[in-house]
Amino acid sequence: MDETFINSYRSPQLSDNWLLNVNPLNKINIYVALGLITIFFQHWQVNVAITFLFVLLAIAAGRFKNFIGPFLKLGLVIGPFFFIVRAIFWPGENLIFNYGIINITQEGIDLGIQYATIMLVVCGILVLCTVTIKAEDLTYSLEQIGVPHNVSFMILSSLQLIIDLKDKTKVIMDSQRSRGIETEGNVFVRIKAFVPVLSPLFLGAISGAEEKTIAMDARAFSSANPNTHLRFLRPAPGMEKILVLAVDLLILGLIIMGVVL
Amino acid sequence: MKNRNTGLLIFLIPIGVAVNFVGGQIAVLLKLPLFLDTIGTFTIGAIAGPFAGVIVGLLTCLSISITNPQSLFYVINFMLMGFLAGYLGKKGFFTSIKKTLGAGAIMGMIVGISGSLISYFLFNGFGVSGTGVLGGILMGAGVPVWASAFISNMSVDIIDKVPTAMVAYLIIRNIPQKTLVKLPNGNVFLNAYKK
Repeated sequence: MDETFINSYRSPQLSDNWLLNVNPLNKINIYVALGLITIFFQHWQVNVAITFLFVLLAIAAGRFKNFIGPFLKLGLVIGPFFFIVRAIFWPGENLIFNYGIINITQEGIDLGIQYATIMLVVCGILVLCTVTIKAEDLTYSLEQIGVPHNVSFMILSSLQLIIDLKDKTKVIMDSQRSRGIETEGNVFVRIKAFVPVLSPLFLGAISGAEEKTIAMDARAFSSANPNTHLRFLRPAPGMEKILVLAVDLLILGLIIMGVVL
Repeated sequence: MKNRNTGLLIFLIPIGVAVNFVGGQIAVLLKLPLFLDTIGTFTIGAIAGPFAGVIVGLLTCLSISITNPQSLFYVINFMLMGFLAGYLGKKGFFTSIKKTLGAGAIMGMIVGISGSLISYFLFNGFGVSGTGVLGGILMGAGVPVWASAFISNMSVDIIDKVPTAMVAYLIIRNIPQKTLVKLPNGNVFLNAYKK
């Protein structure tokens, strides 16, 4: 087992799925290009079609199970919210229903559908990014195009710290409660509880940062020499570059056609 | 060695991002009627300068938008907050309670203006959270679209940013001096505490 583990770092990180093997930046390029279509074609049918395309992409990447849960959770909250707010409140000429401040108009409903479906596309892009791109792969490919390694560190360490601090929050909250700080009651009591929970968390993290600075400097973190990588990705093959270029050109063509016609 | 201080900054920025995230969650856990999800941006901006603040804002926006996609459109707002916190911090705005309240109000106002501009041009004046409902109620009551976008965003931002600035102040107050001394804006606070 040990040998296969070590050997797995001797070659580029690859999975069985062709879509997952596409360079992370190229993936983002394709997703965003698809998303841009929505801005130039103001039809909700187009937006729904693109959303379905994202679902198909998730299936093609073999990540459907990871994709559909968060996507539905986000989409079913944000889409209807955007729709309802506009449908109920947007002022317009063709009144359908009016009661007090609620005034449902045809314009409001059209606008609501339009924006709700655009938000579905946005949710699709973001969820697809999170399920098909690993953060460390993204930072690796950013470094390949010249982003300094400090930035990679900041991104990866932010993601890790969010998880760490979340765990710590629970501990601090419990311990402050055991010391008699009330976390339930009226609004003012609860506001008072906020600082005793957050400040130990923050101050602890800051003093930890100082120690980390010294530890990392001892490991030549601030050295100006080129870095080595434990995990690395393959350079994008020619076919992939052609595919991305083709998708971009196709979408650009579609947009130009849509604008001209 | 190039600079030990930039090293510390690189470690502080992720803390700012994580605290933004966790602060928002604590506010939800305590069922507070505020967002309080920019405490990290305020604090790190104030002690480490505008540049660090902007980066904290940017990274926060990117990581929040995974669970909250609509905030992606407000990325300029997140960065503006970091910049303002850094600028006002340099001017000594976070050194006393009165000044901090002022800083919170100023930031709430400026961020409210930019937020309502974004809401107005991208989302027809509806904010993307509770502000959207508030703006909608105003619109339903016959207030023009631009005015309701303005009122709803401004009021919510000021109500949220003043307590956020206060919390940031209380945290900065408790940062040990040996840490402050290594930070770009640290001398501002150290000089103020000496008096």
